[in-house]
Amino acid sequence: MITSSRQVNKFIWGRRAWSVFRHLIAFVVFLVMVVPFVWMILTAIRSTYSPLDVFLHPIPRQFTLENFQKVLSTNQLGRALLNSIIVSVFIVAGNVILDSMAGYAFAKKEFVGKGFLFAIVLLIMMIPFYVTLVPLFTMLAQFKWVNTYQGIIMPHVVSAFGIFMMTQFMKEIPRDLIDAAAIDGANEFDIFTRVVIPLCGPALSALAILQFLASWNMFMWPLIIANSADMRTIQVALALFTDRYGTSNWGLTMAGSTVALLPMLLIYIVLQRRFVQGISMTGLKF
Amino acid sequence: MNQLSVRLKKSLVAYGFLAPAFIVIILFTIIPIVMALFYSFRDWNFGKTSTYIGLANYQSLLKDELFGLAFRNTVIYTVGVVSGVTVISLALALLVNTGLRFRGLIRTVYFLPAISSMAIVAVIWKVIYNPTFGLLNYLLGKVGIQPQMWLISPTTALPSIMLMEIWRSAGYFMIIFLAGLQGIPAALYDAAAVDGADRGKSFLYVTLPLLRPTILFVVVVATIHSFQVFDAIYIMTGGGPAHRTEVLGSLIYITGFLHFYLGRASAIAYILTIIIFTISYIQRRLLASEVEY
Repeated sequence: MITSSRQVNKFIWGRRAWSVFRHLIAFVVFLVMVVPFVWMILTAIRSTYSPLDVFLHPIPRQFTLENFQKVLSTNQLGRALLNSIIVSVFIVAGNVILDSMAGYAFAKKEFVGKGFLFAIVLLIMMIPFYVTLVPLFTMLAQFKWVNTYQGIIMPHVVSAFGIFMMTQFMKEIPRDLIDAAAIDGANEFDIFTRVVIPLCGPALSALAILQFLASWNMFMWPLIIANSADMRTIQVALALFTDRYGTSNWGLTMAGSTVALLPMLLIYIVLQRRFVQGISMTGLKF
Repeated sequence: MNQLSVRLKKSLVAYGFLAPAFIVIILFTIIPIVMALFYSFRDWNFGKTSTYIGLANYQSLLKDELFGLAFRNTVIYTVGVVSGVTVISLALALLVNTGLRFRGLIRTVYFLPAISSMAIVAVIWKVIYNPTFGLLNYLLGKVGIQPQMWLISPTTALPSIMLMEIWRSAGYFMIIFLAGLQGIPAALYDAAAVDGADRGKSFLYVTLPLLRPTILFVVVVATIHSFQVFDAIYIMTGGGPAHRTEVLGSLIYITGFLHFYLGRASAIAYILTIIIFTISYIQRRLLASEVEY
């Protein structure tokens, strides 16, 4: 118990010191997280022989966008950027449509073999992508899908986790709403698109964001299935690009990284709250 | 109509909704999983020979020095990253949960590395770790520490990659911990305060026990993720120096897609799968047995 004014003082000072300490730690971590990115951008916009130049001369003598021009024109990172956008758009769209359709069936329909099929979904969630890698490659090679968009995209247009997430979310939609629509004469397709889907906003945006993150940042599969210069995704192109210019041109390397980061960064800034909600949902719904 | 056909007819609608997703799953996941098992029993060098050899791939892997090394490195990497990231992300979540100015901005920035691809992060950190031009040696030089060889030296290469991964994923798990923390009723802290618990005690006796399911979730997700590490290794060291950063993921890639020993690569993939499957299974059992508060 706090009795004397001295103890009150001690208590208040203790709290204040704790608060200052916490802010200090938070600030140091803030720097650790942000400095690499700031450094990347500042190195990208100057012509320099050393990446430490940013620290030795914080204010550059002149800014230049030359690195970005070079990266996008002569080094095919522009094409890779386009490839990544195409791949991500199709993977996100595929998951949003197909995962939610399957999730609807599991959540709201009774059918023969439901338990078995849902067990398969759960099972696949636990199996790493690695195990499918070799057969998938030999199979798609027979389809003549090596170095094609469908080769990169198709194995990823459905995710077991997405189906699971949508099932869990759709279970909470009241039966009455679906029954009422059915009594009004709506067919199965209308019920799904006009009643169920509009109620799934938060889950669908979480699914879309998670799938965008996964497909945009996907590395190993595109590296294996799309190895020609014009079919590389931005992540693969960046890795190879860095191998080539790594220690000879820092500005170019950093400009390449900046270009690869920008689309995700813009989406993150605009949809920040939904990102956080989406990630929280994966942790809670499990 | 008998009862079964009524049930089947009702089922047809459901099958219609399931069909597109399941066609993709069967074609691109289930068939490959089964095929990989058959592959793993064959001595198959792409384009050349393919003969059935039973368990010989598995037997030779268990005796193989490089496989042993890759396995050891994967375990070291996983243990280091999982313990590091769990402690740090929990600490960050507690730090930004309450009573901090610019909380929104701070959370946004902490999460920034988590949205960046491993390719971007690996490229930036490769420059940070550069012995001559790197940021890390520059900063350490300021406080009088000798320059280190980070990714080049056999002793520091793997820990350097682990450190980078912890940096990258701490913000992600922080978000999950924050969601867990928000689920703890404030009344419990008030009750603990009334009973005379200080900050440390209320953390030990209220936060930690109630956060147990979240901690378990983070540990298992991070473990499964770390066991499959590939991108960072491939970009930063390629498994070197002298295989000191070789992991199971990079070994599958090299065996299958550089040397084209498809049977052997499938066997490694199956061993990896069994490990990850076991971890996931244990997780489900542990989570299922959780007591609700």
